[in-house]
Amino acid sequence: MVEKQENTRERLYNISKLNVWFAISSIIFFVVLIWSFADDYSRSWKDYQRQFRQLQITKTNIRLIEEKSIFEETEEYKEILNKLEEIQIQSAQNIDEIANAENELVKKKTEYIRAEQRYNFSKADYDAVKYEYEEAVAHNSREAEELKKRLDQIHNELSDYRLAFEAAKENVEKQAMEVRSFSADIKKLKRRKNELAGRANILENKLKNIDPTHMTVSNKIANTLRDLPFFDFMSPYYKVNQVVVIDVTDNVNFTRVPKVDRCITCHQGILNTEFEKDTQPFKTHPRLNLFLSSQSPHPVEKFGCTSCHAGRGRGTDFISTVHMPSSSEQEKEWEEKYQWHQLHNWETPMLPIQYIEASCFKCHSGETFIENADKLNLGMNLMERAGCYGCHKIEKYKDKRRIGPDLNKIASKLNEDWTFQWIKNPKSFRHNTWMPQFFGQSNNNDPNSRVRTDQELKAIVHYLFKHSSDFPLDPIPVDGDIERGEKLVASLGCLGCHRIEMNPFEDETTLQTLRRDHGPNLIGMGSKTTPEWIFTWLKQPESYFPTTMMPNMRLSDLEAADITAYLNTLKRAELMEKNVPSIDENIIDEIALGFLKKMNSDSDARRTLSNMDMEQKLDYNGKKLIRLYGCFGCHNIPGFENDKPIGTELTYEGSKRIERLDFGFVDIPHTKHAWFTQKLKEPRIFDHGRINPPDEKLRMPNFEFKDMEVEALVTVLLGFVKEETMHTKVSPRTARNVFVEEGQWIIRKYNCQGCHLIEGDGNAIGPTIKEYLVNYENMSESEADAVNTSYNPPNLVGEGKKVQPQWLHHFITNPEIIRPWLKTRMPKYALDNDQVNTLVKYFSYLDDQDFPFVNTVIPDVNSTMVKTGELLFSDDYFACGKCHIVGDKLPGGSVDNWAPNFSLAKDRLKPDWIIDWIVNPQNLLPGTKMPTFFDPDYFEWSGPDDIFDGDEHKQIIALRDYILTIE
Amino acid sequence: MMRESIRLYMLVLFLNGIVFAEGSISGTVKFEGTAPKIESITMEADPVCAAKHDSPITYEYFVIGEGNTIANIFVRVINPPIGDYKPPETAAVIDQKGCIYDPHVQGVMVNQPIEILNPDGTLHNVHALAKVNREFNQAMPKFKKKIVKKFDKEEFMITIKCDIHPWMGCYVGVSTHPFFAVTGEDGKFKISGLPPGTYEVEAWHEKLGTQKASVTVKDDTSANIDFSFSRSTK
Repeated sequence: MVEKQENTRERLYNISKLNVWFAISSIIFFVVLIWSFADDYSRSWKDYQRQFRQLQITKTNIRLIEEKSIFEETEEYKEILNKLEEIQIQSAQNIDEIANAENELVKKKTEYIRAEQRYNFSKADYDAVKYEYEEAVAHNSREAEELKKRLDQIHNELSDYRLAFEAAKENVEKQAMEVRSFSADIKKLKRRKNELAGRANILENKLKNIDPTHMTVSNKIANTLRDLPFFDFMSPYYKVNQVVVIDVTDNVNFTRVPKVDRCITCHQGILNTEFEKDTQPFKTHPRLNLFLSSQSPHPVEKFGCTSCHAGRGRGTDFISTVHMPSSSEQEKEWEEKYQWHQLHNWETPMLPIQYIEASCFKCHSGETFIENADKLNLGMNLMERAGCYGCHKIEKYKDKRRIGPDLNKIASKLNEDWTFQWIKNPKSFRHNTWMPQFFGQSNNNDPNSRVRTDQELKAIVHYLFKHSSDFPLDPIPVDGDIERGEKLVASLGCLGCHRIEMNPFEDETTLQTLRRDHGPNLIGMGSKTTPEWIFTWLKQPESYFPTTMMPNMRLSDLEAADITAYLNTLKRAELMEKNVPSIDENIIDEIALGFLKKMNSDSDARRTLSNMDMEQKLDYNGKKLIRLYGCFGCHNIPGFENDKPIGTELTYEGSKRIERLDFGFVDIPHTKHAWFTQKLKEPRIFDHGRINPPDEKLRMPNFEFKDMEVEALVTVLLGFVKEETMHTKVSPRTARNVFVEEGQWIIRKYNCQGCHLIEGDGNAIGPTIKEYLVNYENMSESEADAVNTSYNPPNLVGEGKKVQPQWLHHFITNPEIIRPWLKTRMPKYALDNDQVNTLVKYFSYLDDQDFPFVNTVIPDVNSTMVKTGELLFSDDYFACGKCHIVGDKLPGGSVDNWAPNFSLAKDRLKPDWIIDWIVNPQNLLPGTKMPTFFDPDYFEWSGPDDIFDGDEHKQIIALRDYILTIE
Repeated sequence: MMRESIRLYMLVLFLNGIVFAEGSISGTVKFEGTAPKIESITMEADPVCAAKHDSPITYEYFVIGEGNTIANIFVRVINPPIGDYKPPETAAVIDQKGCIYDPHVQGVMVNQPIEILNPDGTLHNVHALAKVNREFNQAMPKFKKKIVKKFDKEEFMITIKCDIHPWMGCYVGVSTHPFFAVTGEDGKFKISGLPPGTYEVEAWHEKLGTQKASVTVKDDTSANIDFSFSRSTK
């Protein structure tokens, strides 16, 4: 009792109880330790690597069996096996002989080494004595004589040793030859056997490394051991694989660190084409020729993975890498399979695969056309066609022209009622117009809004017509013919930029369809405007609209009158039959008051309003509303020449923080792409559930984009990122790149590819030319197909190689007829000198030509070459004048079969190109009417034998030289 | 080995043919409706050509015989009996005498040599607008009297034209087997050497399009199949 009392006095706790607690807690700690150890050891990526290893083993085994079945069946292989066996049996019989020979060889080798050593030692002695002797002689020492004797003695020995050593060497070689003779056949056979089994052996070796059943016992043990906990720090099979890219950095708040991508830890087959048909994560990358592989332009060691895909490269499991589903179905699937949820604290989640091309912009943002990035190119073209940068500032499109028609002289072209109906519902007049819809949208379609917006429209139209300047229209000097006009529209080239299609078409949008949407669909021209306006416009588009894309088609008065007559028959009367409401004074007042109250007190506003008459109110409202809706973003409107665009800047929209996007009450995933998609599909949606006064509602108009168009546009928006980290990867700004890009921009702006094939793309007009041939030239479909190429505007492939830059400059500014048979006509564009120069340089640089061009071939008219060329040119030989115009001498028959005038050649063509062309025109321009005079299959026998002794090359140069002298 | 067995098989087929006789497909092709008026060719583009003809020459796209039979219809078997058919060694000929292609329509076999002749002493260009085969456009100046060409793939039909003389046009069908024929002015054709079986037959005309029909050949008889083209069948 006493003792116990003492105990309690001295110690606060009961020791034995404490021991129990200590034991329990140490067990818990131990368990936790094991647990944490186990948890750390077990990683999901290891499971993937195990699965991948198994997959590899299965695949390799299958391939091994296949490989074996190929060579094991061959006669040669069977024979080798037989022979090897025979030899083995033989060598078993001769075993003693072989062993003796081998022993002898060893003996002889020993002797040889001994002899060599003796010789070397002796030589060293000789050198030493020699030195001593020389020194002794120099100092007149007495020892000199004695040393001399020794030196001679060693010298004799040395020669003996040398002979012995050389003999021993020879013996060894002889013996070795004898030994080799026993095994020579075996070696040869084995080498051939290995050759046959080469690939199978590689596979077998691979299996020895990865497949335990193919391993030796010790390797099997090592294989198990290397991945056990604790041992796995040394050289584990399963380990995190990563790519480190030093010159691309990740932003980790306040500092930047080199990119570390561990994606290949799980995506193990990404670089290996064997896994093309496997499922994720082992599937091969679908575009290895473009990405990852060392021969591609984007090797993985220089770009990593997340440079393009985004996401968290350092992560090693499905969630922490911030994978993003590409559809709601995939999202569901992932939630079930991986318990997927988005890591919200990582700002750049992986790009859903449909938007992956957004990343190209990080390095290629300056480029006009990004090769292979089809969706991104489509998105950029859509953006330019829809004119997004009219309202949204985008650095890439700085200073680009307003894309809509000029409204400064609107009164000469349209009337007020038509304009009202048009703005109210443009698509009801032209189903595929680029003019978007502002009214009748989800946030202004209730009855009250409808009444109000009608009055807004009245005011806008009033303003436009009131401020329209006069534009005198030319009277049409001759009577046009509708049929001739229709034929002209079908053949001149109008259809390279315009369609005439009454009904909506469901074609997928491509760069090619956009080219034909470059200008408006011409349906309803006759209901929209007057014949006089059409005539004046056709003759001189830039007089009405100085910055128009519509070129001058170089039409005669009659041609313009014909086309006018035809276009005037294209009517759309339905729209005009609808009612235009009359002016409602109360609402006009209400609108005006609303604007006035923004700047003034209520009483001041009312006073100002009461002093305005209706005309002034409409004018005031019109001006305020045009500013509110931002009409001047696309149109030139008097009074709005210098206004700033009204929309959000989109230059870095892809880097915008998600919190800065207002999702309102709309239930969509909180991601940028979901928001952009929703906004483009239904621009007013985020007003849903909000109560806003009319002038504070969302105003972005509805373009009624198709789903695929939205996807392409979202790709571009996601690509507009602020990214300075990739600067080492941007393609260099060489003169060539700069001029090619600028040229491409002009080509896109003026839609040159609507008619021409440039860089292998374009010629959107092609199908309509065929239609023309069938409908107007009485050809069957197959006939039209056959000759279509020669009736199309010229393919500009190799244009830089072909024409002289000076000539091209002249031609673009002042087009002339080169191909007399063409119905399409090269129009005259209102390009300034800089733009023409850019185009000329573009073609030169694209074909890697020297710029400026200096002509060094100026043939002498009296030379033999020119004289012979003239002979070859004549009807006795190649009869070039049968088709070609020669100066003012025309060939016979119809103009459809004529060919370009030779007098153009001197100034137009590059001399080297003429040679290439004569050699084989089909090579340069497949489908050309120009025949091959020199059979490409038998070139050396194809020219006439009696000229230059049948030297075809010389004949061609002579022809070229003569052609260059034709005036 | 494979080739050997095919040859053997061919031999059996051949003997089979001799012993049991072969069937053939024949028929007549007619044109329904009134024969269109054919324009005559003006050869003013090249006096050399014009000088070769005393009387006016007409285009050959509608050659209608007595009883409304129609020539220049290319008839071929679509599903030939399996076999390894060798092209004949004799060359097919396209003559350009008097600046007119002769024949206007013909069939050749894959890799059969085609001799193109130029007896007129003027410049022609032979422009084969092939889609499957390699397109060629070979000039034949005065001094070039003959060139030889081949098509190495099956193709129906290849248009051959001369860009210098726009009226010149002819058609060549390139077949992997010999079961084809072209109608004459009497509209008749015959494809022989066919073992018994059911065959799909196609008839083609340059302006009137194609027609298909099926026919069964029994033993050594000649199965009959007639076609009739009209302008609405195009």
